[in-house]
Amino acid sequence: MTEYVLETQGLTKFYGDKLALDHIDLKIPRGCICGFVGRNGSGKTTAIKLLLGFLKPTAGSSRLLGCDSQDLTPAIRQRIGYAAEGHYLFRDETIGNLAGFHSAFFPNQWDGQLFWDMIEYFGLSKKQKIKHLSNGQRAQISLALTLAPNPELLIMDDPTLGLDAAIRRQFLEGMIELIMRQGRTILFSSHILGDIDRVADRIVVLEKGIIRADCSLEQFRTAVKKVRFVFSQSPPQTIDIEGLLNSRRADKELEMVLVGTADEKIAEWAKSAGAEEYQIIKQNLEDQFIEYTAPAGRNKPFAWEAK
Amino acid sequence: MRFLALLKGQQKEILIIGVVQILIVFGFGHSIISNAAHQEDSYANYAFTASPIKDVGSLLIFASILCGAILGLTQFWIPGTRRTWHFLLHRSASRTTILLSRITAALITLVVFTGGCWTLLFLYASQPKLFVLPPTFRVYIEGWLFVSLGLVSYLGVALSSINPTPATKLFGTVLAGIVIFMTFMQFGILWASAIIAAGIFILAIQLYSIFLNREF
Repeated sequence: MTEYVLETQGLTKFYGDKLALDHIDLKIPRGCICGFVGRNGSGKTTAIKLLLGFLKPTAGSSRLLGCDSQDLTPAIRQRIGYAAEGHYLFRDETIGNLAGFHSAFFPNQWDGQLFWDMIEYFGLSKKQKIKHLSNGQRAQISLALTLAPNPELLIMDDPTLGLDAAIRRQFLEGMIELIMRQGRTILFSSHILGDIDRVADRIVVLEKGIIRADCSLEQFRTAVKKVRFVFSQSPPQTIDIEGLLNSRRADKELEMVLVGTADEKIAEWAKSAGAEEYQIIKQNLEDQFIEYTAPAGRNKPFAWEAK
Repeated sequence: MRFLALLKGQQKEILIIGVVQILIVFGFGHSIISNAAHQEDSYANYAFTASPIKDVGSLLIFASILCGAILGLTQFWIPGTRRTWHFLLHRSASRTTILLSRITAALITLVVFTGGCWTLLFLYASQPKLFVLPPTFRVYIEGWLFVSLGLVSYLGVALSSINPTPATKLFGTVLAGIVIFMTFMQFGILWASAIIAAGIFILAIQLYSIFLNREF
């Protein structure tokens, strides 16, 4: 039987009359690295805050490590690592003092060696004050603080924001190493789809508070396709093909974004519509995500694209 | 262990407020008393209630209320503006423990630093031959009531700082203001004590309830 370390049921949140999350149902099994993606304002941070009990749901519920998010005990929190968006730390403290303060909450669990190795790797020192560090350096401290207690479940809200490419890669490798240890689970949100592609084995796409996709990364990569058809004359006005998400026309070309449409169906449609040729465009995860979450019917280019 | 870690962290954060408090209360208070003591004859002719200890009382009221308000802002308003609540709240300690550690740290600052200074000043003023009429024990108790007004202003400002509801945000500060005002309207120590105790009770219950239940 699969053990879920994170579960939500109909999780809903309103801010006043504004809907932020709409009946989110999620089940994350143990040992999974789950990439949580969505555009700005899609509800990722709200979902994470609800999971950790910082916010109260308007409806529905969520559980972490078998405990209701609204009643997370100190013992359960000790097993969950959390890196908040923006990496806001006590700015008047030195790194050494902050580590001393933080480690007191993880008796028998704090890996001081790992923490100081990371600090050394980042080129920081014990006596540096948080307020004198750059955003990226604060992110590094935050990550070291989150990883050092060896949490069973790691929840990170845009953890690589502000990190340079080399440190980001190192961090992602660290995450993989963490997951290799038995039973570790990671949920992390990011706007850098390359990071998700590199480490996640599962992807959850959130859009306007609704889960648009919740599947393995491989499934998502296979399912979302962009196809360009070339016609001798204008493309047909009506498009009748299974899985059509979006389409754009330009002169004698037609571009479609399809989800879950088999290659044979695409070939069949091209033939029936009289396309001279068609091409399935190779996309990276970022392209796929942008196409997948683009508002339907947005055929007009942005002002600067038109120029 | 965790409570102590939280308390230590808080104490470090607000230590500077305590030190400034010592400088103000003890520095100015000592100066007021010793200046008066050197004007020997004039003070020898007055009853003690008109003596410089009354000026120290005014200083004590001002310093305690101001110190309480600054402590409230430091502990409950600044974490909101610096967005450090999440870092603090997601740890293996309950919200009750976190709140208690903050209140304890503030109490230590008020009792040890402000109250301690007051005790030292009182002992100094009570020295034989310094004044013809030495301060009575009642004056000492009144001083502690003034110190406790610092706790009232602390709880009021803390409550206003973490209250997320705009309509009732000022409730804490206004109630603290009313309690302080009513305290000065009373002539008896018992009545004043009762008003202060009631104010502290209401503000503390409200603070506890909001801190435990609010969204961050």
